[in-house]
Amino acid sequence: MILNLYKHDYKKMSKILNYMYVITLAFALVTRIVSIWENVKLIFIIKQVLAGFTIAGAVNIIVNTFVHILKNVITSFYKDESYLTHTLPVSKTQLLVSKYLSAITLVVVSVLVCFISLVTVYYSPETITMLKTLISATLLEFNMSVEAFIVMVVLLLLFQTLALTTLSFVAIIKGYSYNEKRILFGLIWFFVIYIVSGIVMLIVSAIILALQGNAHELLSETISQQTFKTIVIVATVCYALYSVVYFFTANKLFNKGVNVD
Amino acid sequence: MNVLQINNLNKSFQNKQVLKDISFTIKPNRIVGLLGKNGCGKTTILKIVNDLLTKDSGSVLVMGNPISVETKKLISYLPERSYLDSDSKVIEVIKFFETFYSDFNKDKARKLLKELGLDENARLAKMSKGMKEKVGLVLVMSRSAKLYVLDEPLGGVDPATRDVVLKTILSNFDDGASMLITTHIISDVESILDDVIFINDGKIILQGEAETLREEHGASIDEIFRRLLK
Repeated sequence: MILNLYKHDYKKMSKILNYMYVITLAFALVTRIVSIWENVKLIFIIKQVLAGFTIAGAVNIIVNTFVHILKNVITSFYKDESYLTHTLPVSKTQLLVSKYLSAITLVVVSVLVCFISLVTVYYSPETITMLKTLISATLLEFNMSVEAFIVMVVLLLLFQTLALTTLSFVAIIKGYSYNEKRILFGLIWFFVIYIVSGIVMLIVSAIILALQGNAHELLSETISQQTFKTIVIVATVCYALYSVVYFFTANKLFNKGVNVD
Repeated sequence: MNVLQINNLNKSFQNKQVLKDISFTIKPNRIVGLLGKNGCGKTTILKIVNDLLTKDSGSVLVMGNPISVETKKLISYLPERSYLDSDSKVIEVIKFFETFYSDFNKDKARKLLKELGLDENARLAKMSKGMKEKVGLVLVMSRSAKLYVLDEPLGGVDPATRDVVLKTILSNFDDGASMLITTHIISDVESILDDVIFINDGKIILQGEAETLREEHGASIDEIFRRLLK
């Protein structure tokens, strides 16, 4: 049943985004083809414009991905469609898990489409070398390989996205437990939890750095390799833990029941 | 066993109590009319029975089960509002119901669509309110449920079509099943009701068998309703 729910949710969430994927990938492809003749000045200008459209498309995809996830959760759980959602013979946990999984899938697909589009437009051995040199220069003080840095950043971004997605679910469910000004209350809950979580993360980082004897680096302009690694690892672990905590909080609140319009 | 048993049900929105100590039961094979003016609490009761609202106190049991996934398998609910995805085609919605409800009969649904003159390949967005309500009714009546809950099923249907809709309702619900139907257009449904529950301002003001009430008051259910809520 969860698989059927997941398919249905993903299909609904991705409906409009699929068109955006095709358009952005098409712009990326045309940009790439046009760049074969970029030595001609006019073609170069056209290529730059098309590349701009591709970037705009990628930004549009990322923004719309989150807009569609939030819109789908609200309409499916609390608007007219909720009359179907909540009368289906499935548990509230299944409904939530399905929404969560489809949201994660949508984020991953959107990021992949954006990545492929940008690689299509900008990939060349020279660009890769330039990027590697740039990152290596930045990481020189940290004695860290480019690959390790990329893995750390990707993991951090992944868990941060998961945490923010689940936090949005908590905020929506909490906001809609009120009888009025539900969106406003949802936003307030989102920011309150986000700020408290951030403060907790900062305190944990400070404690660990103090134990390492590096607490003073939090206030200095430059940080050591160990401090950098500690901060990134603490943030990644915290976001991973927050994702779990937020999900169980959302599930507990949702299972208390809904009050639809 | 009672199909539906509601005891001392209370519900408030902010400081306003919209349901006050509601208690009634529905026995098997009965069609029960929940009658009252707009905003008297009829839909609130149905929403609580269908897990769309939380109750403040009291109990709701469907075939002896508290509201849960199990009760959702037993209830076929037609809400007052259009709740189907308007971007979908009728046939897609039928497939959706077939996927999620093990008691859904696809062939029966297609047959009913034909009888009501609806095209299964039509998109819901292109349909009128009345047509969408008919699609909703087809979906609900194509399930073999224990309790059919219909909220104002005649609300958006023109007077000429009401008889067809009522015939569809009557001829398509299973033996042993019961039906809870809300309406404020009593004259149209009076003939099909076994029991009636009059509700006003969140309270039950009268309930009983339709025939007994007619005899006791020497008037039709519609007339009793008008007298009570004058």
